[in-house]
Parts: sequence; structure tokens; C-alpha cells
Amino acid sequence: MRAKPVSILEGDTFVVSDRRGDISISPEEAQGLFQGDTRFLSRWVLTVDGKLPNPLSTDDVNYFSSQFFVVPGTGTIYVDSPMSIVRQRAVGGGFHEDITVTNHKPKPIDLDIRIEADADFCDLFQVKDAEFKRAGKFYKKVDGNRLVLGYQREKFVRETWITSSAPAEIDEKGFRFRVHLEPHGEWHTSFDVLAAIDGTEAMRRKPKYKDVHDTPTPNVGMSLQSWKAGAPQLHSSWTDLETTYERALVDLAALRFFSAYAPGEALPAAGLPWFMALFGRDSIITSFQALPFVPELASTTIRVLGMRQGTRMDDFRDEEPGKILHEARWGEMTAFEERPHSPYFGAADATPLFLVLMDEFERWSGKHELVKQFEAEARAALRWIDEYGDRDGDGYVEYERRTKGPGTIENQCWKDSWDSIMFSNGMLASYPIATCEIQGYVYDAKRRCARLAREFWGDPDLANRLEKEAAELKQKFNRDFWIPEKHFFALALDGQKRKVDSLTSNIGHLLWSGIVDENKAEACARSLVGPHLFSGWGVRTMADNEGGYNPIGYHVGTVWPFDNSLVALGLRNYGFKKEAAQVALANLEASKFFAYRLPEAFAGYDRKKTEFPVEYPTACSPQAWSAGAPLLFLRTLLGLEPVGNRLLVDPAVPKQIEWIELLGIPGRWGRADAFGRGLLDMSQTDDAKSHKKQPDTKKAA
Amino acid sequence: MPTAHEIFQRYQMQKYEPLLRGVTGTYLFEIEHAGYWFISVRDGAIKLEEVRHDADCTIRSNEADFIDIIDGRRNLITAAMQGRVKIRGDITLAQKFHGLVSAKIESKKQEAA
Repeated sequence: MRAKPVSILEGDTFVVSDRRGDISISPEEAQGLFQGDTRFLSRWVLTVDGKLPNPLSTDDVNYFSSQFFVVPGTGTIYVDSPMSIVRQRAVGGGFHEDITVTNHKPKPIDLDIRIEADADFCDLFQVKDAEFKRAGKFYKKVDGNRLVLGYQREKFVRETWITSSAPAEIDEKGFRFRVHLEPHGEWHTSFDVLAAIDGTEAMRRKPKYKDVHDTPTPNVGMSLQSWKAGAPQLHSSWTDLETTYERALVDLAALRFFSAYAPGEALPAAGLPWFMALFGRDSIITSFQALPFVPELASTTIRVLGMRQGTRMDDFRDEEPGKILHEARWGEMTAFEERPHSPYFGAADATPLFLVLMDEFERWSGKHELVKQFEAEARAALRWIDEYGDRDGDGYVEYERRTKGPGTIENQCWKDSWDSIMFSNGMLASYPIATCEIQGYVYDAKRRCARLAREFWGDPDLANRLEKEAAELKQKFNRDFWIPEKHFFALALDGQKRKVDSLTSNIGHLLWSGIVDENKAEACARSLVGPHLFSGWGVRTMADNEGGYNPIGYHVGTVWPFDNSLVALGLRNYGFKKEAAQVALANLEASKFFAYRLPEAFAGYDRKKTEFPVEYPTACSPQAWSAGAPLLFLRTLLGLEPVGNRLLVDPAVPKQIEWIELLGIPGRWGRADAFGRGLLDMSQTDDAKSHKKQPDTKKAA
Repeated sequence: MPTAHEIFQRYQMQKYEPLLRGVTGTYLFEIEHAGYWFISVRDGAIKLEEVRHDADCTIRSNEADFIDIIDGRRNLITAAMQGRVKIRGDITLAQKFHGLVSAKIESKKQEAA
């Protein structure tokens, strides 16, 4: 098995390298220095006397920095190396790298040290699809002590500027150092690698960090320390939970970035490496998950998405007036309209979810200025639901992409892979498709906007109308989507209004939205934690007895922690405390197997068969809404709910976790604390392994 | 095809633009070999002058690209990504301008239909 790559990131700049610290193109791995969806370095390889050194150890010092300890190659059996090399790298606006070579022998040595550098300036889409045909021209030049790698297509210019602090022989392929080291002597050089977008002098900046030990000061106004200090403090008898929480907060901090659409506002990018971009759905859901912890993400998300709301019919981008964007990209293919991501609006759920977040933000924060400021955008979003979302006037929001070009999305729901909407017999659904959870989001959005209209927009007529429409939708939905013989809701209605009859995790989103009739909720809960959907590590995206099920199918059998976090909250909202805790606990237990960082998705194999959650091959990690999942699980376990100006705490914590204490929960009440004792007996649902804090052996010693 | 001068002249007489309600800020349009136009917006009320002032948002391009953007043949955002248009300062204002142009084109289309 190949070694995991090392990824460090800062804003929309990130570096993926191997464990030596080298970057090279390989079909398996998207290595490189990336910024603005462009690869600014595709080769960065250190050799000593023409050979690649071997990695000894690698540290991710901070999310923006890493250290690599390497020694010259000595074959498969290690013999004491006469020298060692330390590479320390910090990313931000490009990267800064320190290289230190130490001679461990009592004799002098002469070394030929070389760094090979190259840049293919590929759009991230090309990297992902391994398509490297280019329309522009490459150039390279040595400009004094600087190597410039460049790419130009018409007025589109991207350059990488590389300088070394130590004198070097520079050619178009890189840097060469002829180093003489005295006994136990040390040699050092620093590289500044700058990603220059635009090619004009004004746009070129210095790499942000000069040292890997610099205090993290993200481009987002708040340092990592302040970010963590501002979030509630978690204490628990279960140390794994504390570690998972800490990791989630750090990952959310790392994934904050300035979108070029709103340079002064930090919001979560979706995930590394493929989704370091603004995504409507991901930003909204992550902000929702994080509301009781880091509420500032939600206000930014509302502002940025509101500002770039759709204004016109544009088939190429699937844009419609009032629609909330799906994805914004900045690479060459987007710039030249070979991809529609400037931005792309191919999501039918982001618009109602935007409204849900707006209301939830006000409920938690009490900051109604934002709700008033974005009233026009909210009204436009409501109009989109009725006028454009409901394409055929049947009362449901359905989707079918208007352009079938490259990069467009067939399934414009969160399960956006081409084969995600399948009948029980494995047959694909026809378009246009109305997935069930989107109807739930619409129901929830209308009810929530009714409150906003009444309390903040001074429009009781609108409030009454929205409440009436929501009630009608709920009634109609419970009739049209329910499959009485199977006792669950259809995944979707397809183009011929047939019920897509696979059992999926989407029914958990229905509980979250509140659209489910009380008399159908128990059946949903039973299905969600039943043997076909529940793997033991979480709720599968699709039940294992369905025709389309595949435990390693992206949306047809894997377990998605973010999905599970909404499912758990939905169960909890309908009073299924034990089932909610079961889902939360299973996911939180899984996190330990991923170094306490829940990935985008993991395989849906049964827990009894594998004993550990199996990785999904190309999952993004960290991913924002997976980092947000532990936060929402905590909210669910502690039963946190704003009620007026107070925070209601109604814990339902499994016995396996003795206690959880969350201190300083921010909200309209100022700060509040929550404590939950593990009283919930899960013996029927799990092998009930207790998660007690182990005695501190160091202290005991 | 109208010139940049003619396009801005249309706005010279307009004192209020409902699509810019809620928007406050200043724009400077630098149209190469055509001139400078400074637009002040205060919650939809607009004032246009043919002068060069510092502005919250500066949009610079050549005349042909600018006209293509106004007429909907070119997208402001991708033109900026391509380096055809330079946007300096408050990008939010630039997006509002983009939204205004898009909405105007949309209403023209609807009128034509």
C-alpha cells in the first residue's frame, strides 16, 4: 500500500507532497502546490548526489506547515547515514521551505544537492480527470536569482516565482548547490515559492510564513488559538471524544478561506484536495452543524451566498433568478467557460437550505439584522422554489440539468453522483427527479421563513401564506412519497412520477426537516437503525438489500458522517433519543480509526465483519461537513436547543460515555454550559463497550 | 453597437436604480482609450460623473470587452478571471454590478419574448 500523502493548507492554497516532501505527478495522487484551483508546482524533487533520499519521519506541525526528516538512500536495510536532511515547509500565498543538511561524520563531505522544479499550471479539474491537453503556452526563465515558471493563454497569466537564499546554479529545470560540509557542519537554504495569479507585479506577494514555527495567523481575521478559545470547551470521560472534538475544530479552522467572491469574509471550503472551493450546500450544512460552536461561519455563509444569488436564466451555469449557487471555481477551464463554475448553480437543495440556515442563525444568535438585511434575497429564494424549482407545477421541487456539458451535474441533490437515484431493482430513475429530502427542506424553509416574515419582515400575509403552503406540502408529501407496503418514504419521484423505492438514508433528512407525519416517524426510525441501513458504524447511504447497494459506492452504500449527523438530529427531533444516540455513538467511535478525523465517507461493510471502518478510496480529508459532524452529534447527545433567549439542555447520552461537559456555548443567551450524564442504556443496540477515561499513567507514575 | 460613452450616457439621466437598492459605494470605470466614469450609489440612488476619482471598486477593461459585458456577450466574472477585466477594491460591488447587468439583460430578453 502506498504511503499517505502529506497535505498542508492555508486558505485556498494547499500543498500535497509525498513523505519525503517531494512533489511529482503520478496518476494515483494529485500532488502539487495549488492555489485558486490551479497547480503552480507539479514537480519539486530534492536529490543528493543524484539520488532521492529516504523518509525517516514526517510531522504536520500545524495545518499550514510540515517537517520532513530524510536521509540519503541506503537500500532496503538501514545503515547509519552519514548525514541527514530536514525540510520544513509552511504554506500561504505559495510556500516557504527551509532545507538544512547536517554532516554527522568527523570527516568533511562534498555534496551535489539539487531541487528540480516544474509547473504544469493545470486546472484542478484537469488534475482530477487526468486530462492534460493545454491551450496556452509555457515559458521558463531565470531572472537574476529567481526561476520563473509561466503559462499564458491570451491575457490569462499564471506564474510561479522561486528564489533561494543560498547561492545556486539556476537553470530552467531548477536549482543546484555544490555544498562542502566540514565535520559535523551544517548547510542551510530557504526557498520562497510564490504563486502569482494575473502576472502583474501588484498581485505578487511574499509567502506568508517565514518559519514553520510561526504562530498560525490564517487570512481570516482570527488565529487558531482565538478560534479554539472562542469555541466551547469540551470535557468528557471519553478522551476519544475530546480528541475528535479538538481535531474537528482545528480542521474547521484550517478549511476557512476567503472566497474571491467575498475577500473579507471567511467561510468553510468543502474539503481537501478536490473541494477547496466555495460550495453552497457544503458551506450551509457545515455552518448549520457548527452554529452552537463557531457561529461566525453561518453569518458569513449567508452573506456570501446571498450576494452571489442567481439573477438570470443562464442554461450554461444552470442559473435562475433567486437560486443559490452550487460551486465556484477559479481555474483556467472555468475562466474560459469550458466549465460552468463561475459560479455553477447545479444544486436544487442549496436554495431551501439557505433559508433554513438563515432562520437557524437567528434562533441561535439573536442577530436579526442579518435576517433583515437579506430579506430581499430570502424572498427571491422563496420565489425560486415556487417558480423555478417546481418545474412542472406539481408542488415539488425537481431537477434536471439544462446543459449537459462537461462538469455539469446530473443529480442536483447531495447524492450527486450519476447513479445515486436508483429503484430497488437497480434501475436508474428518469429525469426530472424530485428527491424526497429536498421536499423536506422546502417544507422546513417555508415554516421557518413564516416566522421570519412575521417577526422581522413585518409581513404577516406572507407568513400565513407560507404556513399554509408548508402544511399542504406536508400532507401531499406524506401521501405521494410514502410506500405503504415497504413502510418507508420513496427516495424520489422520477420523471414519470414513479416512486423510486430504494431504502436510503434520505429518510433521516426527512425527520430533520419535520415533514414526516407523526404516525410514520417510528417506521422511519426503525429503518434507519435497522440491519439494512445501519452498518454498526453508522447509517449507510443505501440499504444493503437494495439492488443498487455497493458498500464502496460513493452514494449507494457508504456511510457519510455528515449525513449521519443530520439523521441523528432528525431522530432526536422526533423523540427517538436512543436511536439518535446510537447513530452518534457509532460515528464517533469510527473517528478513532481515522486519526480522530472523520472522512468524507467510509465503506458500508458490516461492523461485525470488518471490526474497523474501511476507508473509501478517494474520500476528501479533511472535509468541512465531516469535521462539522462531531459538533452536531454533540448538540444531539446533549439535546441543545434555543428556546427564546435561553438554551435548553436535554441530554440523552449513552451509558458508554459516562459524562460530557460542554462549557461556554455561545448564543443569544451569552454563554451557557451543558452537562450530560451517560444514562441511556444501549445494551440492545450495541455491544456496549464502555468508554471510560483511562487512568493517567504518567501522572500515576 | 453603442460606445462606452453612449452606454454611460443612458445612466447619466437615471437618478435611481431599484436593482441597486441596499447598495452603497462608489465605482470607477476605467475604459481604455474611452474615458473614466465615476458612479456613486447610495441605496439605489445613483450619481454619475465623467471624472477620475478614487473609488471603492475600480473596474478596468478595454472598450470592446466592456461593451461585450454590457450586452451579455461576455461574462464579467470570467472576463476578470481571464485577465481581460481588472477589478480592484470591493468585489461585492463588482458582483452587484454583475447582478445589475445580468438582470437588465434578463428583462430585455423577457421583453423581446
